[in-house]
Amino acid sequence: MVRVLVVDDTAFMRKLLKNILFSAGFDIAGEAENGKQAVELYKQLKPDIVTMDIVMPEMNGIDALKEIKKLDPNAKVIMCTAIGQEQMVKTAIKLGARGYIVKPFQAPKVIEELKKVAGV
Amino acid sequence: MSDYKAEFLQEAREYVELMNQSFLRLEKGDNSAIDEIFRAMHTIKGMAGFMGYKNLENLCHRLESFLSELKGKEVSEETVDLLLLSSDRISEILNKIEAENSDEIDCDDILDSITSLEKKESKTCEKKEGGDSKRFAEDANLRIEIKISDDCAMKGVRGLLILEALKEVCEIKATEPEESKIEEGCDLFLVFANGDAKKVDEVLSGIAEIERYTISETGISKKERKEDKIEEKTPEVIQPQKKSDSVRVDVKVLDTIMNLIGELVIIKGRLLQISGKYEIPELSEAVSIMEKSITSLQDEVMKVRMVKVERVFSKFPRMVRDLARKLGKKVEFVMEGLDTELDRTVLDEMSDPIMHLIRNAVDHGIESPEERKAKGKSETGLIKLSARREKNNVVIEIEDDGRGIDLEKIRKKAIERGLISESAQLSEEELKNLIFLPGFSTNDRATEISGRGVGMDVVKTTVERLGGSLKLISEKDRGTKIRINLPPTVAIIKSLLVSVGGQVYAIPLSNVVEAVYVDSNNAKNIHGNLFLIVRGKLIPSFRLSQLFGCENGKEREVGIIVEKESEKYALIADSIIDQQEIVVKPLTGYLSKIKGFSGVTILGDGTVVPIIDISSLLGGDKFG
Repeated sequence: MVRVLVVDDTAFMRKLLKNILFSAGFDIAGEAENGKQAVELYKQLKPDIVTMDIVMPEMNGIDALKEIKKLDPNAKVIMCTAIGQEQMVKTAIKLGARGYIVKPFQAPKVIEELKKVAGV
Repeated sequence: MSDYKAEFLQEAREYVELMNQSFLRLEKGDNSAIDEIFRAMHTIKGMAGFMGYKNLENLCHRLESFLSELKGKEVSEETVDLLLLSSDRISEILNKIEAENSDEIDCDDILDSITSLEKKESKTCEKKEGGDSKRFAEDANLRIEIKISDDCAMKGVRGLLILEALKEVCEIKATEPEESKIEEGCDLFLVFANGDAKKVDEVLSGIAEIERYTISETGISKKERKEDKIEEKTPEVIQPQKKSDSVRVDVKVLDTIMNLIGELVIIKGRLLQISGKYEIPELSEAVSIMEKSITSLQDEVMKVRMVKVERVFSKFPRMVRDLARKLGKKVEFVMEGLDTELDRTVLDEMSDPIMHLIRNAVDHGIESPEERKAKGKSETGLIKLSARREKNNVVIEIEDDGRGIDLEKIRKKAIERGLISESAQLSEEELKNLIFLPGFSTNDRATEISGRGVGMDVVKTTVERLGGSLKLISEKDRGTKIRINLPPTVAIIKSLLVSVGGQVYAIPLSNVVEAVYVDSNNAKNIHGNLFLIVRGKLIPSFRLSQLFGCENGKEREVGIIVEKESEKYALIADSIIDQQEIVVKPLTGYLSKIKGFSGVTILGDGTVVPIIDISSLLGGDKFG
């Protein structure tokens, strides 16, 4: 089972994502509400995939991505983005993000992206 | 030999279907489709030879050699037309083989056109290739063509993601259009790179929202370039091949198994009763273990009955193409969620209704290119067919970006047809629902394609019979969307068991809205018709005991509010007994003509329970 770390500062978004992922057979390894927590949890949980929101307090998604990539250059991080944030996602991809999903989330799209990146 | 005929026909037809899909990909410029068509043609040829159908073998052989010439070349529309015509001819031959065991159908016209096309094709290709290859980067060995899905939200970002991923496994020499353009967002682009095709394939298969990609090894070296005439070697196309470990099973066998499981469930109920009556704890323990096995057996068979919607959807692209051409419209047809699974019976039943809805979308929905242009839309209309799982249901949507439904036109038509009175004040929703009435058509002339509007009511009844629902969303000049909600299976349904005059009846829960107690306060007799008042609304009511001609035994009755074609009705029963999953056993033989019941089920104690079919119970002349 593919284990996913869900990172988003709003509980609602995390819940929404968890529901989508859970119904598609993904395992939720854990959830973090900011970048700092995400990096900590990545060390502890070693998830297969991270879904990373970009705009978050404490440490934003881009910085968290950098940190995680330092820890594990092969980390599979998928950015959560919204229309208008194209530039930030592009930066993230250049930093090694492996995919992106667009808010408002469409379940089939999210699942396709995660399955592709996970290679299942 | 005749032993194999049925299997030969079935397989050959599957290959024809496969070819039909590939032709359309070919037309869109996906050259790798040729290999698939070639393989299919080759297989049919082989089978026909084995079966001794010389004419068919000959036709396939000719087509096969024609196809091998086409590999790696641009394919003209004319060629695709010819190929489609050929596959139709093959279908005709197969039909004749089935009916008369003869494959004698004249194919000379096709053979002649092949010969003339072969001559033409070889000329045009030489010309085209010269111009194209100039753009090749000097020493790239791979030509990668990538098409991003149309519904991709940020095409630029996706493009960048693809380029970045490719850079990890190969050296990008050139792209078309240039990289910055790809990052701004474009659907289709070419990458010329130096690297290992297998690795590139691996990377691309791990990226979402790529509709298709082809990797071809160009094999053009500098030496050959210096010569004036450049020949492109047959590209080696790497394509994941589908393999499956499966056994063909007749769906009837599955039905029988399902029925037997139903019997098992009933016997289990008997055993439970016996163990309770004689107080044998060992027996009740054994029965509870058996119950678990039966439940998982039931689940497994249900799973086997599930098939991918692709099975039915795959024939639509060809249909849309043919229709659009006939009507002179430009249509892009997109399908999504082909992996969604649905009970085979449900899917087969839905095949015609979906086809009808798509035809409607092409014929009535999408405007002519001129009309679209005048409205400021792109000339090519979009029709999207999608399937997905939502909770316990399967949702199928047919969406177009055409002219939408003209409510005013519907209203006029309905008045003309005497379906509503001129003064009738109808809400938007009610107006829309008028198109589901039998014999309604907004198009002034009935066309060969969409018929005379007999379809929409059939679509609705089919969906409802399967226990599903249908919703129409439409906006003028923006398009129409029809959402069909289907239960994944029909063999087992949730139902409400009610008692009427001592007999138990089942009402499918999908029809039930709510239940209320009936008393003198909310039951009103108006002009001899019974109505229930629920939250200030009058609901036409029917006493089941009267309908079934038996006595009602209880003083305090229950009104079951059901929905039929968006109208609410109340069925008055003596009491509600239980809510449970039941195995539907259809009525057969002379019983099948009985109106008002869709089948029966057998309860654990052996009681036979008729299942009430709301639409035929309330739809008859008696209550019309």
